[in-house]
Amino acid sequence: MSDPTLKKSVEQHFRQYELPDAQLEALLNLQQNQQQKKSPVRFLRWALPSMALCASILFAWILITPSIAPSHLLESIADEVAKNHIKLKPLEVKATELAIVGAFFDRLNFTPIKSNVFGLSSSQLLGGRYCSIKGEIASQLRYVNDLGQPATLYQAILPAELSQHIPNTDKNMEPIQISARGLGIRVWLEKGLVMASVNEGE
Amino acid sequence: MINKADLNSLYQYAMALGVSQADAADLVQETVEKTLLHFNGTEEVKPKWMRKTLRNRHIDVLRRLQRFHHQPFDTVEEQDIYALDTERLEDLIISEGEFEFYWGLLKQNEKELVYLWAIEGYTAAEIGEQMDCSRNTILSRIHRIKGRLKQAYEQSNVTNKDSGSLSL
Repeated sequence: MSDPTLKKSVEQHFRQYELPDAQLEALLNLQQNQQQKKSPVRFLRWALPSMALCASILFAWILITPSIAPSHLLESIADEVAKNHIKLKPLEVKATELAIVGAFFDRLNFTPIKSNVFGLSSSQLLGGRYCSIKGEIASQLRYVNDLGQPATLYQAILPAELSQHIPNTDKNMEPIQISARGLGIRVWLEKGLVMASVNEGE
Repeated sequence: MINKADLNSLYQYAMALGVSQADAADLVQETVEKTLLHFNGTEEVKPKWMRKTLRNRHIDVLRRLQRFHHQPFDTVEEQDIYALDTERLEDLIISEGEFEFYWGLLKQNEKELVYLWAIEGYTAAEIGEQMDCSRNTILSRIHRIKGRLKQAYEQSNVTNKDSGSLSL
């Protein structure tokens, strides 16, 4: 029997790798579940009530909220934050105490604060670096979550015409959750600072 | 509709990127989830799109771990392109049982290239599109791969199908 060509050898080598049966089944089920969600009967069963509910919520929100946040602003902030998070550029200050990290940011016209929304404690702080959000200088505080994954918290002061569209947690509003570049980003206003966070464990 | 063959093909491609089996399984999982969100049942899922998505995700992860380094390649002069294009990896014959040795001689991105050529049947242009580089760069890489294998052959068993020796 003659020796195989490089192509045949590569084929033989890779054909031995197959996903475990359990994961194959799970992935196929995932797909089926999504297709079922799209089926016309199911769609009709849920579409009208859902649309009515959405319309009611939207109507109520318009009544309560003086102005609707332009989604492109929040998406733009989320995208900028996701890009910064993915790059994970080297830290400019390494410390596990917020006071030490905060003291480093002397170019900011505010001091980075502990957020009541972010969720990770100072003990999980790694350090920080400068970055920017919507052209304004910002701080990036880097943490490691309980799973050992990186999490970042951004703080900046944005002009009032922009920050007024961001949910203010001091007024009992919920942070807005946006997906960008495969990451879940939360954006909110807290103590006058625009904050955004990425926690891969969430 | 993504079937078992597509999923295993994606898994094998992830392995060709040099990750462990566990990481390859994770990459497939993330890619499928992203694919289902993207295509949303409205159009047929494109395997090429899935491979590209998996590759981008892999690079993102490596960048996050700061293990991704762009690997520069030799450039080739325009007049050399025709000559390179006529080189065929198919001419290489590898003695049975020695595949692992020769495979180990290739750099990571060269393994990916060979995988796309051998398993997916991509052309140089298509490989370039998948790997974010030009067709000329791919041809240059093929040239280097043959060169490296030829060098190894001088001490071992790589032979040319036609002449019984490796000729470039």
